[in-house]
Amino acid sequence: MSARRSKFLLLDVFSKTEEDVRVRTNTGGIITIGCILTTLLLLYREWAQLTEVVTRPQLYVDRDSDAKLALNFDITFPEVSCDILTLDIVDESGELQLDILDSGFTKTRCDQNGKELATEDYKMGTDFKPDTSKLSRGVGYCGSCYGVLDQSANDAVSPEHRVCCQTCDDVHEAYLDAGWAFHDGHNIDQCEEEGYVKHMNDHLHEGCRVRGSASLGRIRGNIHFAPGKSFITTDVERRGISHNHDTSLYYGHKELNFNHIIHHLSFGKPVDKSHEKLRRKEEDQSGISTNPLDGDEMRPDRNDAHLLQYSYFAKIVPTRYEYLNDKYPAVETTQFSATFHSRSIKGGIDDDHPTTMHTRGGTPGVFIYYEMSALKVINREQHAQTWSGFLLNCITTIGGVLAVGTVADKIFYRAQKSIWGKKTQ
Amino acid sequence: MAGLRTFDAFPKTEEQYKKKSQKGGLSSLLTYLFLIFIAWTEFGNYFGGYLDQQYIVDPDVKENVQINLDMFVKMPCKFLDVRARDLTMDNKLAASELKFEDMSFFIPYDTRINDIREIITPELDEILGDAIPAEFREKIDMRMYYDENDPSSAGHLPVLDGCHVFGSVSVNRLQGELQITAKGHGYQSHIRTPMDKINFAHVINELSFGDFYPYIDNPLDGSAKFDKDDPMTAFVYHTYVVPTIYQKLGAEVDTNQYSVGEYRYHKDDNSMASMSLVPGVFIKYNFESLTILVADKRLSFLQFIIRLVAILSFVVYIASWMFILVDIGLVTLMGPKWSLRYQPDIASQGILEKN
Repeated sequence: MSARRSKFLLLDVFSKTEEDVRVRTNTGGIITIGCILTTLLLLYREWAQLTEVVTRPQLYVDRDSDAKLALNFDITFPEVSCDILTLDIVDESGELQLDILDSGFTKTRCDQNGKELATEDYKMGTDFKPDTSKLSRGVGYCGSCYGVLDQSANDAVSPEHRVCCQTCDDVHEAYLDAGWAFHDGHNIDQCEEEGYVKHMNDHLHEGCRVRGSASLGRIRGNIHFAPGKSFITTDVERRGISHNHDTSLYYGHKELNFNHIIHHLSFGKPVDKSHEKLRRKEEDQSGISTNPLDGDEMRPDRNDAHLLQYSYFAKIVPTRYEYLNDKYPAVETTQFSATFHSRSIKGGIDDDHPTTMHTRGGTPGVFIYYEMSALKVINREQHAQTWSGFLLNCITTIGGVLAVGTVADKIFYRAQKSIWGKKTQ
Repeated sequence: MAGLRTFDAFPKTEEQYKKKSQKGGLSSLLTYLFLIFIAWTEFGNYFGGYLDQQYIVDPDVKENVQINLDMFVKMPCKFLDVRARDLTMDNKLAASELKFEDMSFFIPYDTRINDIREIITPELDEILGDAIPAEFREKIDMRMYYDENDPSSAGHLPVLDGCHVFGSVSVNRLQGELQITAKGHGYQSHIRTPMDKINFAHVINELSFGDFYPYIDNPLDGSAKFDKDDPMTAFVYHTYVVPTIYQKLGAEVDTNQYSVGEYRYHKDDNSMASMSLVPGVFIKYNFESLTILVADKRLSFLQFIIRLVAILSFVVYIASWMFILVDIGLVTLMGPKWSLRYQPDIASQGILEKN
């Protein structure tokens, strides 16, 4: 038994010095305490690193091409009234969303300081609804179309087939179809009677705040806010369909302009605020998705503000966030980068761009061009460290600190011995 | 004071109780060499760091980007016109921002002619080393060398058949095209370049986007293109620009990389006529919405030191363990005489010899 034990003793690499030949010193004690404190500090840092969550982005090619893309916005135009302002969405496929009544937009009349006056659901052009019951129009009344439509044959046909413009709206439609300028409808009896002219002029100097969301196709397109009703003209000679706005009323009032404040503009599903809180604060102040236009205020001090056309070019990058915490499902959203451009529709060189000849023509307004990126970013949350890595680091830390301590202690011990001799141990 | 002693976790053995052996000294020396090696590689790892890539979307609304261009064209400057066109339909008169200098056309040494260059992806360190911002020099006025009104006074000058176009031009940060054309061909001008003067043989010394760092290597830098048989060729470059930010040790370089595709149209091609193309050099550009952030990351210095010491002491520990094991092995196999640790002193030697 004893022989066996001695064999094992031989294998003991952790050989120990007998207690009575060991020397303990005060400096050794101080170093030990220092080592313990350092170790605790470092272990705490290791622990902090274990609980830390990092986001590792990966690039993929976007595959959900069928899905519709949501557009959310909230924009104030302090100097265009809701009656004049129109919103159109046009995409590359030629799909025109001129009538976006049912998409859940609201527009809010506000004064020029942005104070809100009244909110209504979005309707194209004016929200004026005439009270036709009060109007005294005889049976067989056939309103004049003021030369837009050919009414010369009316006398010859039966009353059902007559070409008539019974209401102000009818005249307006006829004007648009012909591409005539309608202005505010003055000198048109139907409009004067219905109170349309008065309504337009009363509200002319209000502002307008438009909020809402729409769904877009995932192709290149543009959203634009422009003055006056939009209409389509088919130009046979140029073999094209062009999209125009009846800007006559806007041009008639030089003080109107398309200054704007973008409170919010984002593509993709709105992200729940609780997700925003999940994100770590220090790096991502912008939150879960980058919406560079939020808070953008465009009020240039220029004489030709009336004729300015503002363009934003957005390149949309689909983004998915995957959380570590199972309680939060992955968020599909988008980010976009934006480029800004402004020009006067008069064209030519302006003070901002002394060497640029701007093109001429177009409509004043705010144009937001969007384009999808083929790449998709998936941001995955991960632990910065695994448990085994954490344990290994802890052990390395303790070992490292002890090793430094041993060396320091030896140095001090030797130094003390050589300076003061053996008396002070 | 005396109480502190009890905390001493590093008990020391008095020198007289220690034994030292020569063979142990040799293995210690080997261990030290190994330690230095380990420390060396660890330091290398620390300073090298590791690369971390992130893909971010630029949170700022941008308006312009700068194109830095330095090229030679085999045409007199007075016939050259440079414009930038893009999605906004703006007509940027880039010629008024660039500098034109008459020169005698030559192709510098070390230029790739009508050739696709080998593909180089620069390392982070190279980029940071080369990222020395600079500006283009002022234009030299050639008129100081001769009398403008007296053509014969220019006789001592070499034939100025080329033009050095250089400078930075700021364009809308949108899909667009930089067009270098002959005056009167493509755009209206009061000068109409004679057909025999049109030759768009060219050397690109520098083409980059963003801040001008002349030493950073770009795909088109140092390349020449010409067509001996047809001077009326249109050269088209398609570039796709990816904004890239490099970060290391607090230094940050915000620049742009780009990929290039190129092709050319000839005068006789049907495509040139049908697409109403004119001879020239056309640099088309488009921008990626994602920005690549290449960062060099490393441990904190304290953590690194702790790690290093831990590894080193571990090596020492292993070494001493191995030493003891070898010693045990030798003693059991060859007898106690071979012990590395305990060299028998004279007295015990007597005893061993007796046995």
